Amino acid sequence: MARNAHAYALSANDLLTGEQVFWSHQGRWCLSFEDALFSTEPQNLTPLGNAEEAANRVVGAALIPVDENRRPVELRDQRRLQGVSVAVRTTASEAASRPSAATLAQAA
Amino acid sequence: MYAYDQYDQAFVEQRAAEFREQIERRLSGALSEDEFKPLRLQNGLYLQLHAYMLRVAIPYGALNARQLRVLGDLADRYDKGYGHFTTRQNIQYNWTKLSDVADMIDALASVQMHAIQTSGNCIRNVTTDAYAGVAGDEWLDPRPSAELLRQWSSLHPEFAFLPRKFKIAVLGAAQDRAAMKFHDIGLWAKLDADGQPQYDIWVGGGQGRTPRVARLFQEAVPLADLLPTLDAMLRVYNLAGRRDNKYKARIKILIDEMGIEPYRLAVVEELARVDRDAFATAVGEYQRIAAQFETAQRPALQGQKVPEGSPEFRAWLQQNGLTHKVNGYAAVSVSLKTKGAIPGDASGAQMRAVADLAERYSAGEIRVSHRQNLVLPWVKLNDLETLYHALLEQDLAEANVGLVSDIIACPGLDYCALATARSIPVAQALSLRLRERERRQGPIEASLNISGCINACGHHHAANIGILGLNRSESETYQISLGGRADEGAKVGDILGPGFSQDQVPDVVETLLDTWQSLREDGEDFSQTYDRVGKQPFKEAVYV
Ligand code: HEM
Ligand code: SF4
Repeated sequence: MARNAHAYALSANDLLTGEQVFWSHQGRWCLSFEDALFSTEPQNLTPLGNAEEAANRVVGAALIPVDENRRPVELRDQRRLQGVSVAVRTTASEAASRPSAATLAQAA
Repeated sequence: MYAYDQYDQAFVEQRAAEFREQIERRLSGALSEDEFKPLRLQNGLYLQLHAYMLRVAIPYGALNARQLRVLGDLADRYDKGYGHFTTRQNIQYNWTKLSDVADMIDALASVQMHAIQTSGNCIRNVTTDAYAGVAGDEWLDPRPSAELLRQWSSLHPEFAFLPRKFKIAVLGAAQDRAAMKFHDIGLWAKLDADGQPQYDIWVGGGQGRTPRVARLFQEAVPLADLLPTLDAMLRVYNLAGRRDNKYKARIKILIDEMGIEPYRLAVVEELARVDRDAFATAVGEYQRIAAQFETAQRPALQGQKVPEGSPEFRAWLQQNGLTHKVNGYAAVSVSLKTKGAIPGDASGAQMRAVADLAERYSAGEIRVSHRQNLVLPWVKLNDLETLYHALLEQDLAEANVGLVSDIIACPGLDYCALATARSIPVAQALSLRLRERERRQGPIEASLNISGCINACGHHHAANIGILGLNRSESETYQISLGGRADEGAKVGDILGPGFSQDQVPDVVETLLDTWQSLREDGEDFSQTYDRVGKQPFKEAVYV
């Protein structure tokens, strides 16, 4: 249990794009932390992450501990959620196809 | 420049095809991440916070215009329009998609490039002086030695799974411009009385959580003994280096624990077992490579003169130019540290522009420096001003190479999965502040390096002012160290005291510079003042 953790979200990187994704209420991966499922029982989320990794949809599944306000407790998670500190444009191939589409569709 | 032979080309193409197949198997689910990870790391592909990162090798930091153009195209086509040149003279793409990697690697192979051995516990890209072959203070061009080492270390069957990564740098000049003494092995090439290459071998340098300056292993090793000696040195390390704890697995720790003398004896014993016949072709191969580099050298030119130009041009040349060993030429650095820029980042358009300029004004050659800048090594004196104006148009003519605003920084917590703090915004804020200070005061010759965690990829230990980003009580804190240096007098900096918040860092750095400037005696650089007065006056100035 992380210090000051009130609940947990499940995150991972999309297998194809490496983009950060979150396990949602809808029972699939989503791109927005706002839509993430929060659980006070991390033991329920961990096997889910393992199963999704085994299904080759994501890599690096890990729990994000959050406080009462659903704010990540760890600095690393906070910064990761903020995204990079510099303005970056989308890649040419992103413009052609939404990066996480494969993951989102498969998991649906 | 060295040109691949058919063997090199076939090797790179075969490896590209192999990795394409491995990626396909991963995407189809035939390979699990556990199975795939060692394969992708052997091909320079990491997973970071927001995407995959592809690290491309730039052997000894040398590029031709075609190669740089392809690097620029990769940035535009597969990344978000830029690439990051690193302190190890490589380039990293931070926004790579797994499904694009095979095409990226094919594009690299088409210009004799690859990403092999840019990760993993093997011998990494061999680095050298960015001014190799052109520096006025050079005794021996280190590139043929570096190329010989590239061939020896590429897919060396014994050294693919060392206890830990292994980094080698080669120098051939009086001045160390490659942080040689912070490498696992550093070679200082010189000429013997007969004009043949010989090497002083240094061992056990490194940064990370246990910074060490390399120790002298042996002086004046003749060329014929170089590869057998390195083989024996690596064999001893491979057998005796610790594999139980990755933080204690580098050769520097083996030498700390064993002592340099016992290590030397063990290498001598091992050398007696090395099959010398296996290296019978090394001297001939060196000569073949050296001849290639020599033909690419240009003859001296008559009638070349530095144009009078504007004061801005003269300031730029004074700061970013280096005396050339061949009459009629200058070598100039292209700063990737424009005011407020991300150190080492170049856009695809900038890379293509520098490639064009290299073709027009620098014999088609470009180098990547360990301070994360580019170098145009062969500029005719008559062309300098025209080149300057062309660089200005690309925002690449900042006159600050070697100054305090020429900041080294790693990607930090913006990208890196291992980071404990951001380093990019700190570097940008400092760049704005320090460029402004330089505008007021003129050139400030000191080094400032930033790392986003204790792994020290941003060389903070080796800077006059080093900044290490740490994560303390859920916010970033930046620990300052002073007095480090990466040149011939290499030294690890001393930690000043408790860290500072991100907002405080620019003021603290300015206070440190004020203190140095008020204490320095005639002509002293930062290290000299620091060595004379010690840490105390700096401490008193910042912890009031
Ligand atoms: C983002 C991906 C990166 C990862 C995962 C990474 C990982 C590491 C690690 C774990 C170490 C410590 C090794 C040890 O102490 O045994 C290290 C050291 C180092 N890295 Fe990186 N690094 C990354 C990016 C970079 C970049 C961008 C640069 C250049 C700007 C760089 C250059 C170096 C250097 C010069 C060292 C210290 C020299 C030494 O190995 O002792 N790395 N890196
Ligand atoms: S120093 Fe740390 S944060 Fe910076 S690149 Fe290296 S591992 Fe990442």
